[in-house]
Amino acid sequence: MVELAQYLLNGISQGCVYVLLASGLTIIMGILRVPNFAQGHLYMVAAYLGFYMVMSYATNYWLALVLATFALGILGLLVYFLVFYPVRNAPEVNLFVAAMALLMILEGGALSLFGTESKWFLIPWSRSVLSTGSLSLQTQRVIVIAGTTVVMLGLWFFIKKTALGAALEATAQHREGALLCGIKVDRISATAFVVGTALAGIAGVLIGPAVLLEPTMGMGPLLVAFSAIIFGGLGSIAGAVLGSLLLGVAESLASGYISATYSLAFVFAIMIVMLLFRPKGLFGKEVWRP
Amino acid sequence: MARKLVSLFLAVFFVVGLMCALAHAQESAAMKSMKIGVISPLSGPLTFVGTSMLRCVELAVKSINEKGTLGNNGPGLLVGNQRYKLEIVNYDDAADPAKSVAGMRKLSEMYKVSVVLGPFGTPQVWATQEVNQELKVLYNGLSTADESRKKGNALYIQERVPGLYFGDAMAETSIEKGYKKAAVLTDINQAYLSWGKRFQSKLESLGGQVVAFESVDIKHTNDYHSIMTNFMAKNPDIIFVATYEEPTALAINHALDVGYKGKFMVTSDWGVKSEKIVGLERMEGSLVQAMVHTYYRKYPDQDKRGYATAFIKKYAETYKEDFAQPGLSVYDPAWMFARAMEISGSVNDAYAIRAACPKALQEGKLPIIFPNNDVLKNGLMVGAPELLLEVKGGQYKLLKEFHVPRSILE
Amino acid sequence: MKGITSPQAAGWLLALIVAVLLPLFTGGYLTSILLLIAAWSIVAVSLNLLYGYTGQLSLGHSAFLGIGAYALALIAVKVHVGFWPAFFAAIAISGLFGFLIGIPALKLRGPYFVLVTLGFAAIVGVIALAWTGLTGGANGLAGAPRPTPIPLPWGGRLKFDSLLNMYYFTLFFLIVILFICHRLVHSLIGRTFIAISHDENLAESLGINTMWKKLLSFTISAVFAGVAGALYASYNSVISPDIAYFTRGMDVLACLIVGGAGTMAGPIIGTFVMTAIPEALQIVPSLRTLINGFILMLFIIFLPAGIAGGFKAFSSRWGLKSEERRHGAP
Repeated sequence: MVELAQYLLNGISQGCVYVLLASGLTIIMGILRVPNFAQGHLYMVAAYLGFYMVMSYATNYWLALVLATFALGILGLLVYFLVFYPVRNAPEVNLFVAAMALLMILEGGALSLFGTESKWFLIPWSRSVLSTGSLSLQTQRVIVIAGTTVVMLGLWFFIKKTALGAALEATAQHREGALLCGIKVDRISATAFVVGTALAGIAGVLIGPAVLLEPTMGMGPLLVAFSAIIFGGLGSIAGAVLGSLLLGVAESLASGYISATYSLAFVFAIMIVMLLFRPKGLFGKEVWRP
Repeated sequence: MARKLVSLFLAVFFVVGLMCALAHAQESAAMKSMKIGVISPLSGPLTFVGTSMLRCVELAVKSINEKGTLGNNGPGLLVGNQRYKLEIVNYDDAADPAKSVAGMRKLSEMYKVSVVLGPFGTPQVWATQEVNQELKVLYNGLSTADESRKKGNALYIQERVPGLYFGDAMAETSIEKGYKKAAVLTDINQAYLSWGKRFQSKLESLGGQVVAFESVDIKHTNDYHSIMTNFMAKNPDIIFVATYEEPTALAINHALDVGYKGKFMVTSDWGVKSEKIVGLERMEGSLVQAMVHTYYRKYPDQDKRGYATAFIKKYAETYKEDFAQPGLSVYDPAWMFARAMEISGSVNDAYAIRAACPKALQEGKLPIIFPNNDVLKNGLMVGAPELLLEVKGGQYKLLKEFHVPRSILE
Repeated sequence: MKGITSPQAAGWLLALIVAVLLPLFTGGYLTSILLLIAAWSIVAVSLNLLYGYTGQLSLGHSAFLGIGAYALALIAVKVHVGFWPAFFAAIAISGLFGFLIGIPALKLRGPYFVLVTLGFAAIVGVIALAWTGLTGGANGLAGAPRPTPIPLPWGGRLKFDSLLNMYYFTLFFLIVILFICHRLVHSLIGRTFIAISHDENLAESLGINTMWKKLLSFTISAVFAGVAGALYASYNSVISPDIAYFTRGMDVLACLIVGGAGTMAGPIIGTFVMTAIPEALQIVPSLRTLINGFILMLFIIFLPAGIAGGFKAFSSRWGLKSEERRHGAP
């Protein structure tokens, strides 16, 4: 029975990565109405950026975290203006395809720039493990949990307590209404995209030291994050958090008790079941109108 | 109307022209030098291995081109009266069997190679065995599976004794050391799976117990925490991880993450990179089944022939990086094929070259890493011993040197 | 229907002549590339029917590709029947799965539909990899047969051992499927599909049973993708789980968009552009993803109708100008 607690702990730490990715996804989806397929690859780019800063330029890890997040935010701004802004009035499908194209560019770029070999992100406490009693977790993963908590609190504060956050929420709820209130919807869209990519950036650098860095590392977490936001309801951050944690734990339990190979299929099965029986998810406001 | 037709024809003409240019480019590729093929994963999860494979062949080719196969009969190959410069043409199969087959076709049809090094991995090797004879290509595919040399393929060379035969020695040593309860994690690849099963059956026959056995697809697995938690709950003395170098290190790290305090047993895929990732000091008492050069790297004075240490030094100087364990396995076959071409007097006849392979090794003059001295009828290179090491104080201690009897391998 | 002397017909005829004659002048490797282009074109055509003409964006076609391929290999090898029974069984199974997956999936719309098809594709990919007992797992399956020789009326038999004949075999199916699509699209059913793609709610309000029509489109699309999978398995004789890996669905979509969704020539042009040109320029695989991504990005921003779509619009404008010149501007 002891291992159940360990599975839960493993699941929560992995789930935190999904929380960051899914929150970003759901914000972008709520405001730009596009499933940002490239979210996983943005997370990958951040991880590599952090890796190079720490390993090749001897940057302090925390500084690298901040710098990489900042860089991802700027990348997000660039991507928004070069890609999503030009097609903002096109059918939704086009935006989706644009995100797919972005994914391919990021992956191809990473492959060419960083090479295809896996990279190991080593920091001073890479090999340290924290344990209490019979529970044990790699120190970096504890940092992931702590970091995610801090970031999500900050996000909550931003959305609920600042004017910009309120504008974001308003635009997500009703785009035309927000326009009528004088909110500059295009600027809000850009902000949403930047916030989304920054969240992916934080996720990437936080988890980087705990995993193998590869150009395709973003794909798996992206799919789980999508499952999470479907589960939690498109556009709801609380849903994204809950869905991510639940799926992270489910994945961990499935790996442990059933089979590791099928665990991804298991996560998808949950998503499909949710889609078929309650498409709006746990906290979704309404079924998406295309 | 006419304008539309004209533009249409122009567009089509452009396309046709492009394709003719394609065809032409292809024809002018075949020239004077002697091309040998390398198929290896240069993208995807096994890139580390694939890059090493290519580089090892490059080193062999460079040396042969400079000084010849015996160190004094160069430059290049001397076949009959003609000298040949070796040139490598390679293909990235991303460790996908379907791509490996496509690669063998391409190298054979486009570049007319008669020998190929690679691909890497049992699925890729079994796939290419379906086509290499039809294409008349002699090749050494890296597979540590027992079945690979038993499929009646006349043009396939297996450069090393299949891993599962070492399972016996590993199980015996485990019992000797008092590690009676084991948990086994293998790749779903047949070769590692049977290695794990062999270890299991021998351990159990000696009174040991395998408390858990899992097979996963390491190419798509990044998180071993759950599996290791599962293992830990059953209290094993030792965890046997049978898969490639990097995933082995990752799995071990994750086991340590969840608080595992016992020993590990790893296969010969264990190498420099995995040492750096885990840190030998965290694996005190663990057992490593190793090829000779892993040991010689730490204790060069033990390398009496000297070729292994010379190679390691050359690789480090040229590429400034560590090589992947299995990658270097193609080095010896590359030399063997080159020398076999000289002995057989042919650079094109794959069957003749194959027939000359045993002699190439029996001569005993090639600067190969592993002291193999013969090739069996079924294509297996034999002669080199294997080692069992123990990690002690951050270093390796040689526990056993063993051979697998030739009669079993035939 | 446009006349036989229209530039479109001329274009198709020319393309056919090139497709048939070209491999006779080039080497084996190039023929194998053409074969692959033909096979992936079939998948693109199948997705075109579902997305280009019926408006449902599915990322799940890798599933049917994989099902077709594995079904052919498994049935031929394990049940010991000849190629043809296995082939027809494989495409029937593919269609059946299309039907079964379509029923729940098509209840959803927009991004939900996309994600559910992606989910199914991912699950099929995982099963292909993990169910070692059935599919051989990572080792893949060997032994998918070439088509059994067909007796010819003038004696002798048409054998498919050679790469060239296998290419013509694949090309044959491409042409047949294109023809079926063409007739389908220009029929009443086809117009229904197109109506659904424009506005599903409106179509429903007109009394069209959109669910059944979408399901029909989905199933036919799955059958065609299954054909491509079976052909690929037969050609390569070895298949691995990578054929069912879900990212293939994105590659096919990219080909379709670049070529022009909703046109007949689009899928073929797109597949050709995204496959042959990188191959011709001997571009390293890692760069190919990058370049394909850029191409897709440029198209989706500047020419979302794709090459064929853009050509259509361009030529119709041009046509109008020459009409004006002949009859004088109004």
